[in-house]
Amino acid sequence: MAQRSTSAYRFDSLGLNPVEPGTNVLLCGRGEALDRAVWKLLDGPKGATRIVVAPHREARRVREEVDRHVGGPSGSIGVVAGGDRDVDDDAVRVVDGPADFATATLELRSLMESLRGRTDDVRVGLTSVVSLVEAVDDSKAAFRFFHNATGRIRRSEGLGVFVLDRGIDAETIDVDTFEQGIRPAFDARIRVSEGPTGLSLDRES
Amino acid sequence: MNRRLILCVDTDPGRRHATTSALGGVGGFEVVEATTVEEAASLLETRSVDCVVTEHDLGGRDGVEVVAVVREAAPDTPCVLYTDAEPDEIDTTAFPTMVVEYLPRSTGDGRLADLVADLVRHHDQLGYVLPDDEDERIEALERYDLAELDVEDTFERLSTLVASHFDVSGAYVGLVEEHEENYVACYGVDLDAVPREDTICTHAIVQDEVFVVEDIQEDFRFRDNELLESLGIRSYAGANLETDDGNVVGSLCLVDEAPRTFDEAERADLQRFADEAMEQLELRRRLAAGPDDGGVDGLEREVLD
Repeated sequence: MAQRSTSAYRFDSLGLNPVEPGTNVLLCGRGEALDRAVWKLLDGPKGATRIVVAPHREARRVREEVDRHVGGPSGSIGVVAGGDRDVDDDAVRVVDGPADFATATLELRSLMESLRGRTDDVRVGLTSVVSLVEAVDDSKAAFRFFHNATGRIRRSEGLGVFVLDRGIDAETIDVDTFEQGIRPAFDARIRVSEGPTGLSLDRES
Repeated sequence: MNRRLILCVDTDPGRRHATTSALGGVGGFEVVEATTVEEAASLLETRSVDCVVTEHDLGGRDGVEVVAVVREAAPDTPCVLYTDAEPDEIDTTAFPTMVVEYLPRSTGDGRLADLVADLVRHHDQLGYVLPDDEDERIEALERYDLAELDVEDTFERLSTLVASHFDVSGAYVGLVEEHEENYVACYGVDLDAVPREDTICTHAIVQDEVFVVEDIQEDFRFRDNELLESLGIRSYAGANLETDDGNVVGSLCLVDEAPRTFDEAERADLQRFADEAMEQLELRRRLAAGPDDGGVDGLEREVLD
């Protein structure tokens, strides 16, 4: 399990130590290796706050995945996602899809506020950055959205994991150009690959 | 340094007083007030503010409308909805891509002051990326007073020369200031001051190498850019103007009306032209400055003359 000491997020088995509180990373990879890396970074000690933002996906399914991969007691989990608004779960906030930056921004802030102060281990995963940008023809709004989210995570001394799935079938953007353009919005980039000895995460500051 | 100026928008006098007291007292900010969306818009026409804090419930109007006004008038300005309204009570249907910070009023005025200070310090709602050393970069840029340096004619000649050399339809020298890019000289393209979020150089100056956009319409950062479309710009190459201490103050740029590529030799040539432009700026700055400010002394001036 990924652990957090009082001074930094620790990932002993992944070779990423230390990850300072308030760090936002762009996690780049594809397929199953990327999925595994996401959940490893979002995992944490019991009671850690974990929030997953996935506006392009159905909220119930995202919540099920969070429970399955990282679990956690009531009051430590949050989900901001799309789909059916009729969800009877305080941990789940529903938006109108990936283009609904406004609601996602407000609900993420509200969730972080409601979970604030319970632990100093706060991990926020956002998937996927390509889907968000493809959903709007407004790069300025996209940058604003990422800056605002990373700012909140920095202020809460959390860990932000922004997922760039290079295997996604992007229809309107070139993924290489996109990665180059968005990279400066984050503190570091982590490249995920599957090596002969298992998952490999290479950090570039 | 001047105190940061915060605009507080609220129709309710009691709430507005509490918010301004917190920002002025706890936060140490200078605060101006507006009671309506229209008043806020009017004030933004004449004053530059560092952050806007608005109540959502403005008696028939709302805070979302204030944020929309700010994004139009001063797009770099961070905005905070400081309100008792819950997120599901805030109707953003008309502005689905709006990004605004949100803080429940119940969290207290101290949190608001801390939040505003952090938003201002870290530029958290920009529609573009910033260099890591932005504050230092702006300080470096302020050393070059263009009116005093009288460099326009030289840069006009340089722009004409590089456009011819690379066979492109336009070239220009732009300085990327805090909120806008200003163009010292242009050839083949007519540019006035442009908000930073609308310029390609904004993205060029965060790159270490010559920045090339082979086709504007294929790049997510620029495909929705109305200014570039109106100017007929389809491709771009920009080389950094970098000071001796490593601060990038602007770019020497090539633009064309058609998609095009630039090979390694062309990119190296463009960087050499940019280095020449930067040397012109630096020499003129030193000539204009006194010896105590890194300028030349009398003997050096004679040699340079």
